[in-house]
Amino acid sequence: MKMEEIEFKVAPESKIRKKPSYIKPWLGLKYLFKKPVTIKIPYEKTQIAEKYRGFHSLDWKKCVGCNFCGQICPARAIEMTWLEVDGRMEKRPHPKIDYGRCTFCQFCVDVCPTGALGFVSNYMLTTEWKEEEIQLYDWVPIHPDRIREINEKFPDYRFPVEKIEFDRETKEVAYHLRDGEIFKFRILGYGIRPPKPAKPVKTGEEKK
Amino acid sequence: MREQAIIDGILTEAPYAEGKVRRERRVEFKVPADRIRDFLKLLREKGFELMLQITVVDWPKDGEYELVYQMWSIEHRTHAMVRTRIPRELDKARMPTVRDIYPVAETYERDAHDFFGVYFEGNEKMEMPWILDDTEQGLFPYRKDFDMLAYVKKKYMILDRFDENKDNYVI
Amino acid sequence: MMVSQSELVKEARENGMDLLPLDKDTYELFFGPQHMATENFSIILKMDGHRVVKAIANPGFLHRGFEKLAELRPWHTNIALLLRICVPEPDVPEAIYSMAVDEIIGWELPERAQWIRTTVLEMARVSAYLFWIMGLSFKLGVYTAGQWAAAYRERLMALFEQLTGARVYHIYTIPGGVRRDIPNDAWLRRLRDTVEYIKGKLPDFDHLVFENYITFRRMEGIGVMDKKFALAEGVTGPNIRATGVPYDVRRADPYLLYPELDFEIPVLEDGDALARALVRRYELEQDLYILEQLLEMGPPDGPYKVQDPKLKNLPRFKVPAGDAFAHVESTKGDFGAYVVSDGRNKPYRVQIRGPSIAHGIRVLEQLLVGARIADVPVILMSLDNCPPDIDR
Repeated sequence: MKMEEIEFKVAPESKIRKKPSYIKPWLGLKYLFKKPVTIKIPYEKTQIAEKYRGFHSLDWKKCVGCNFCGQICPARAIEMTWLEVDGRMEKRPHPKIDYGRCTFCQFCVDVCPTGALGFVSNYMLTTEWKEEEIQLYDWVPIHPDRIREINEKFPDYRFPVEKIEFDRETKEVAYHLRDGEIFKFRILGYGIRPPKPAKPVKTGEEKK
Repeated sequence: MREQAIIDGILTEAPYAEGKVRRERRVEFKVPADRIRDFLKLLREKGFELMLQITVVDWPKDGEYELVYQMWSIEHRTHAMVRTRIPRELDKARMPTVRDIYPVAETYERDAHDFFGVYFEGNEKMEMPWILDDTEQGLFPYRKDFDMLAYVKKKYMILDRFDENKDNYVI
Repeated sequence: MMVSQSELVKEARENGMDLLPLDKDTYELFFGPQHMATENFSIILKMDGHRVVKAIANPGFLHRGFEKLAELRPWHTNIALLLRICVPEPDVPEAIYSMAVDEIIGWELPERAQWIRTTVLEMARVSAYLFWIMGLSFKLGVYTAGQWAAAYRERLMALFEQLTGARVYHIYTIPGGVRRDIPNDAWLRRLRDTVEYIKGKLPDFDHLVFENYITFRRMEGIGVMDKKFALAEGVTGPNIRATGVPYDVRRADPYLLYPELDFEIPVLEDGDALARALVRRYELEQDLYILEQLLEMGPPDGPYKVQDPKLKNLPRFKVPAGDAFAHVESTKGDFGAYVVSDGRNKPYRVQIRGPSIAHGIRVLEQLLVGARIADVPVILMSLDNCPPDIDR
């Protein structure tokens, strides 16, 4: 092989080679008297990066229901949901995010044309393996300011909702936020097209 | 030009092949499928020591598989794609093996056989199980006409996406 | 010198002892996939006593069909998928896929994007080498050094967290640049501190692992391969440099800012496990040196991704028909991606070439023959075999 043609530096062998030693391994003992680097979670707090890609937040007023987030989602975790708040139907569908599928890539936030979908640094996603808690991580995100308010009260990066009640008959959903407030709305249907007003049944739309 | 000189040096000994320069340090050859062994032998003599991968690309509208042998030359510092086309019908998709020229090709050929059904004649390990399970062998899942979503729905019923009542398939 | 089995049998027969016939001593051993050394990979070993007679690699436990799944998703979304091919350094699959797409489109990256990509790749290399030191020390029994390596890697993960927003799967490099700008100057200062810190800790690793007589006893002269064998088997990366071939993609096929950077390529002629470990040890030092140079250079001003109106509409982002091959030097070897586009908003075919598909199947099968059972994890670790590359 014509190695001399290629211009790069080859390290001298003396720098790479090491000599075996019987004494040097014992030098590691000096660390016996140093403080450990580990921290005791949950008794000590970790510092999370400011822009950690955690749970989503959604400004319902800004969301135009364009379904860009649903199209870009690599895990198909997002489905558009038609909602009714205080007896009034939202004019556009809003994304409902399933954290059982979400990969936290946040491409949905990148593509959002109005900046309605955002993210907060909350990331703790643990349950006690109860059936009703599975409901908790399939939600329509709430307003970022609301999450920020809750974070100020509870700075432990947990999910901002304590409990989600879902009534299968009436399709009513109640978010029990961590600061005690209850936020109620009704799911009218799924898909990009609005549900039929007379019979609010799920349409099961195929999204392309 | 350095790349053109490499191509000229090879093509004078292999008139059946076509070659072109893609860009700096990237060349490309088109070779008929029955001459691939001669051509790769020649490439090895000409200093392309490493075989990086055998890629199969399925083109159903042409009815053909495209096999791309990704070669790298440490001597010339050049990447060469050797392209060849074979019919994509499973009984006709046969290639001669190149494992005696590049021993590592044995692994790549097993990979191509498992996922695309290209049979490399002369490779003893062709029938050995590779990545796929026994039940999945013979499905050739990377072919374009393999309906992956239908297969997943059939196999992993529980992982499907349903609405709250678990009776209506949503996406 | 070991007494061979047949001599033992002969001696025993002469002394009136009746040993079992030889083939009763051989047995099959399923090494992995639950063994820590193999990492979701299995080897079927035919053993004669404690020596390996035959080894058959048995991959497939990590197969997730990424190449097929990538054909069903928009171009940018595949980043969130393909980076799962390499867990210790997920930036490498991101970078090769992005480089291939950039080449198909014909984008010229802004200087700042190139600087960030190079820095991220080098940080990934350092963190992957620390991860490898952890694995190697665990297999050699030097658990202390392994814990240190994990602790120092944590500092790099915190830096990645601030830069990209995630710790392990960064999903950061996208076709056309990167997703976020460098947060602030404090981040650069922190990176400089981390590089200094890890550099100061390298002698500790030398003392405990690389200059330890146990390492020499365990690794010298096992898993030997020569130059001819390595080239024929497609071995790349530190493994081929340990056999005397100075092949480094960063020099042989320069990409990003590497032509401007100064570093040495370590080459040893021995080709055994120890040579591979020492080559990797020296490369870690060189990577820290590269990071220092990059910080000296400082990030150039300008946009951090290509200014293209097409990037506004990612779900319908289309790439012109064509194909490209891109590869980078990862800590395991030559990591390549071959991407074919037919002009739609999804790739037509993505093929990822992991270095372990060459190292982990045929090379491993041949290196293991004649090795002792205790050497199997050491050989695996010295090859730095990463099963997700094979299974994809």
